[in-house]
Amino acid sequence: MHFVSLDFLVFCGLFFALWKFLKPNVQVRWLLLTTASFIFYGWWNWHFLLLIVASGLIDFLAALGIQRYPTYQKFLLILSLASNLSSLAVFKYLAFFITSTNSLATSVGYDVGIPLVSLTLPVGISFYTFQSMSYTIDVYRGKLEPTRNVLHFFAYLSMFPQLVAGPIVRASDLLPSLREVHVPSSEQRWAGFRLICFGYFKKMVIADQFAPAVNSVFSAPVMTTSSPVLWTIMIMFAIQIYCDFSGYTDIARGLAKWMGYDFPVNFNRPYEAVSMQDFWRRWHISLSSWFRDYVYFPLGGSRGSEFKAHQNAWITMLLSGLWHGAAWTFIAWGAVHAACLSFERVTDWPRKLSAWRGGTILCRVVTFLLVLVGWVFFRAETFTQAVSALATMVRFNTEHLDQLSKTVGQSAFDILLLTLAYGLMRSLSTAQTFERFRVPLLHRLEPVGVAVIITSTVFLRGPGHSFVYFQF
Amino acid sequence: MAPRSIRISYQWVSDRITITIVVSVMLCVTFATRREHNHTGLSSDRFWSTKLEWSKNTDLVACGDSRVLNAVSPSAIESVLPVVNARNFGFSGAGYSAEYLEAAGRVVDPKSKQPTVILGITPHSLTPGACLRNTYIEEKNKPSARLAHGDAIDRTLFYFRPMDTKQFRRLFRVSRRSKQLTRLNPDGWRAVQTDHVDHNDVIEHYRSKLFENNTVDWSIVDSLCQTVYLWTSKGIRVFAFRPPTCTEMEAVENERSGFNEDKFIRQFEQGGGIWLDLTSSDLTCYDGSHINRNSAKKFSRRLAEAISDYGKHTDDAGSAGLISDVSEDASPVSRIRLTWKRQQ
Repeated sequence: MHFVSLDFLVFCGLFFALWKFLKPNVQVRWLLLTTASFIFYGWWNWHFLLLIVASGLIDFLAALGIQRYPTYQKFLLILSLASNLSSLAVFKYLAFFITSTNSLATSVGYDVGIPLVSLTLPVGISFYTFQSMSYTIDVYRGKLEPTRNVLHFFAYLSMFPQLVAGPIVRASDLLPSLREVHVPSSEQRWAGFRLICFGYFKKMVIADQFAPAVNSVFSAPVMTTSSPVLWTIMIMFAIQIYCDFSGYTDIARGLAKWMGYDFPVNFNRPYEAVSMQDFWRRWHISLSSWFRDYVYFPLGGSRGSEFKAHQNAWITMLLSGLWHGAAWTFIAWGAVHAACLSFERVTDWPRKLSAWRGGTILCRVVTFLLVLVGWVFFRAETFTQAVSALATMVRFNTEHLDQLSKTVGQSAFDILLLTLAYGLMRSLSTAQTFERFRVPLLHRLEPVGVAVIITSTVFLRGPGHSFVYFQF
Repeated sequence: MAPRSIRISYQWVSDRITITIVVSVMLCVTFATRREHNHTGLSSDRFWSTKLEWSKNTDLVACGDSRVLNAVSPSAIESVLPVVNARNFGFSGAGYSAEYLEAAGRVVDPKSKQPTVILGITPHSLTPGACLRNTYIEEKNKPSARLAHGDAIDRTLFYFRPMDTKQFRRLFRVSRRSKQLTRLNPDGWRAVQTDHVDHNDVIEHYRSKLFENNTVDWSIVDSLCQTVYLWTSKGIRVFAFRPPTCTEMEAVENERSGFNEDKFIRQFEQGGGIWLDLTSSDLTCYDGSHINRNSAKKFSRRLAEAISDYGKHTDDAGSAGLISDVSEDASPVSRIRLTWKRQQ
């Protein structure tokens, strides 16, 4: 069930009608939440439900076993991790592994000819397996008491707002919260409503308006477009992926607020980052913190030698790239970020650059450009296309500049200019400046502002539909 | 103290979400009513899906791309020709693929007294690009469930369809420029009435983009002529014409598309078709490619008169009089090679 669909609106209407009038009984609420979430997830394909239930049950029982049988703790943890990772390996990475092996063998003169197995990727598998693994790992580490109620566990694991595209919510945050009955205050309801409206606006107006131009340029195997157009397209893609993903997260957070729960912020103005390290503290925070806590720190983090610190960062970033997709371009994207982080660590350029006059702005520009290079690999269909795109981008010239708006589409171009203007305004103003505008009168006009956002979403919605991160 | 019901009602009214929803609805309705209602008649969805449902219910069907869609008014044809009914089976961007021709053939009623197919031949309709991507294919592939709701809901939702930023800005203008009014008729004709004439963008598009790696494919012409031959052997009359457009556009098409009109006419006539060469200098082309409503009515009557005249003169013994050329090397299957022009 897609967030941008009539089915979902009807589903939400029914769910919140029931949610509001249910007795304040946690068991009943867990049952409703789990049932609704299973209906939501099974709407795509009911077979997917079997996988999440099986995987969830293994982790639920493993966590109980870890607490009850200390001698078998490690074995049960490995069992839980193996079951999650193996489902990921089979559904997400098997085809990639087979294709890569066949290609490698052919390149060295052997024809192994492993038959390609093509399996439908269950929606959201990367998200809920990570969420589930964090549960058993935290229980193993003694940070969390496992729940004895299977409905409680599945209410946490399958909660529909964040099931298919995050944020990856930690069990230590959500499980205790689920034990209480929260009646959202009017402030929470308003905050949730606003988040939902802005989420839909970001997704349907900005991301969906940019998608056709971006997809059109990347449909050619080798870049044939001019340099200014490609730079524009890459900036559009950077905004598209941010608005698409953060839009989804905003909708998820808004829906959670209506239930009385708080999901963590997943994006914190990432394109204002002053360094790559800063970028990863602002972009997809739930995933980057997951990799930090469950991969980077267990490997040793930055403790130990400099070489080990770099090594651990590279492993973490390459795995992060692989998590995003079963393709070498995603691994290359991870490598670009790892290289940037290593370079940053060695040269400490953000600190040195920010000491200059206007240095903070310069740091933001440089960081944005580095992130943009990474996005080229992230978006490209093949390695060849990515290299071709970068080659076109560095051959910067002004040809076809006058045709820019016609090439990307007038509507998309107008929205790009407005988005850049808004972003620049936010970026250049401090938090204090913004607070100065939040006078009582403007605060009262906030509903009108949100109404304008809703109206714009109705009339300026773009043609695209799928959330980009659904494919992960 | 106010009664509880009034206090609760006040809470609802003053609730920010309620206010936002009310203001949003007001804004949406205002914008929907203020946007240029340049579409009347059937909704877009219903217009195309109705066409796709036609089957063996037409005496005369006109086929082709958007130039035919705009230029051929079945009601104007019916006012001249003694046919029971005429339909416009034009689709935007349509190419003469085997699939499209087969669909067009299914529209004609084989039991009609004079089943007739009229083909509007534009160079673009003979290109591979047109055969691969056009409105006929798009609409055919759309799920039929989208029209499960009634026409009234369809028309209401039509007001809330997305718009581009240019149209959005026009909502705030006090006085708006002259309208382009499009009527989607149940007989398949798209009638466009506008006072605004602007050729530049469309002609530039044809000149620089449309025929890039997409010129006329003569195998499509061969396939078309074979279909024409099959139709004519079943007793279906097949006429063809070049839809009216502005002179500059025709020059661009002749230069860029690889279309050779004389070569096409020869092949078409070998298949048994009848080429109609119709005057179009007095018609108004509003966007560089298509003619407007009044010109379409004029042109359609002209087209119908030409067909009627042809019919009268072939009913007479032989094909004398208006037949300007009879080939001596007629095909072995006894098709008379004709080049027929309406006598001025």
